[in-house]
Amino acid sequence: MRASPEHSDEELLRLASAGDADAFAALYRRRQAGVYRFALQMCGSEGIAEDVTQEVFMALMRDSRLFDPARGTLASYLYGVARNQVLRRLEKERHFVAMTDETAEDGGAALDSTHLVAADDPLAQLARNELIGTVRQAVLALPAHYREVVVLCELHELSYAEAAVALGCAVGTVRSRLHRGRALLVERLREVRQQQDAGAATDFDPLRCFA
Amino acid sequence: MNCRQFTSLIVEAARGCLLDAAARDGAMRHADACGSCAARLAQEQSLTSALRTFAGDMKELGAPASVEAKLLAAFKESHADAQTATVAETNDPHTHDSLRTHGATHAPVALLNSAESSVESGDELAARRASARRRMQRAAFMATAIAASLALVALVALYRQFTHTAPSKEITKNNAPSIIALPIVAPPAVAPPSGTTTPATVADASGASFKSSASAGSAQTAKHDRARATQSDSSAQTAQGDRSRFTRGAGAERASAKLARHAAVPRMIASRGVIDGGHAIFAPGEDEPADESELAGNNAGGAARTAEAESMTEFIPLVSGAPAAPPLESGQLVRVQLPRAALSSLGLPLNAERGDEPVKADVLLGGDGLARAIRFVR
Repeated sequence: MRASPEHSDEELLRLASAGDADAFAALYRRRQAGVYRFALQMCGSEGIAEDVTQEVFMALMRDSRLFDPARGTLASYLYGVARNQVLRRLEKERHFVAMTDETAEDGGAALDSTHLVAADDPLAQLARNELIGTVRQAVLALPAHYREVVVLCELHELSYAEAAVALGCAVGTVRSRLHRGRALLVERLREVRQQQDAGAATDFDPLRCFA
Repeated sequence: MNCRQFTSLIVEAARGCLLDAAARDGAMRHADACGSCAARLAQEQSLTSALRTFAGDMKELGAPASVEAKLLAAFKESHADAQTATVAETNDPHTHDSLRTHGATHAPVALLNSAESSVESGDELAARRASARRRMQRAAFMATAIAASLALVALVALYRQFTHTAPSKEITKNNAPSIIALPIVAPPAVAPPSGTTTPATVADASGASFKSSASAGSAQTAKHDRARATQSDSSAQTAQGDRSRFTRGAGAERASAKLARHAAVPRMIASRGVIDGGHAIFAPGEDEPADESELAGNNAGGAARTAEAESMTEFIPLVSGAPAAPPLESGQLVRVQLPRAALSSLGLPLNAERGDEPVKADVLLGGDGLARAIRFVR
């Protein structure tokens, strides 16, 4: 039986376990983006996100029997493996101090190649990029146990139950953490907005205005 | 609905989650009536919008293609290895037995046979064969390494056994590899002693050539020890009954040890020099023989007879006139007769009643012709 897009994750996994490379490739192409984005949103590093993605699917390749369909979806399982990998790497790199990154100082997305394309409304595009950078920084500033809930439920649109399976905790825990994480985000975004407003007011120098 | 109840639903309301219709209507009505709750709802909706914008911005992101390539390569390799191993175990039981019975050296051949027996077509088969060959090469390398290690261990064990047993046998046979046996050199005509260093007349010539790297000691300390050497001479005379071997009394040993601190070469010669059938035998790298019985075995023939008839003092260095004498590398041992007055010139006690009798002595001549040491023989 050849792998096809109609196959479910579980069927593709079963075929891949039997040695079907096409099934494994199809499964990877279906789920790799979510895993990669989750890792990227959790740690903010593309290199770590690539490594985590590779490790997640290597783990699936080594021993697919660890996945139990009765406990949840394969996507939740993969998110759970990715989450463990990310937390392990974050713990490992907790002792290091990141070098100054100009892109991060500029809001993270300012030099992204996708944003160098001229938009129809440059001002709106600029405001959007600024908003995205602010949100990215705010999410990355959250504590890990709040961040993972926010990423899964808000950015990946998982249900509370799926997130609970991925995180290995109760649904009520997911809900309470999401409420707390969102409250922290609101607070953080308000602070950033106030700083931007204060900075804009300070930067304005009437003596420089020759109009 | 009050503010507390509204707070518990505000996140779900802002996210647009499915809510009970009654609860949703109640929340909306409360937001219309409560300004603070309406403001909070607006904040939450704004946050939801920002988060979705952020998520939408990253929606197209994915892992690079290189990750997929690596994973697929690893997947194919792992499954090819597993399938090859399975084929090897199921299709060829003889191969399985040979792996167990004949050891790791047969593993590559067995795996090759099994891999080639399962002939299929297609790229996957080629990949599996390549993987199997890699495994076989690894197995062959491991087997070779193990065999080489075992051979090396065996060689080391044999070498140690040989080196530990051979010297003892050779020493007991009086032909130890470290002992140098040199022919006797005819005694040269030595001039009579002048002062304190030169022998007088050659009366009994039984010299021998030898090799040594030691240097002569200082004259002052040697002179200080001559009295003790004389005492050892007297103790050696009392031990004449036990001369079947080259040995000395306890006093001579102490004098020898004292003298050796200042003149290593004479001590070495006095302790190690063995005359055996016209050959002088020395062990340059050793101070004392391992066992006196070994020397007893060495003293066969004329040497033993000579040792039985004679007792000797320790060597007395004769280097007072040449403080910067070159190291003694080769030389000769010359038997001479000296006037007994030579004893007093060397600081030794002289028996006046026998003053007119000559005294035998062995003079150690260096390669440069200089007399380095002397010992008296009775």
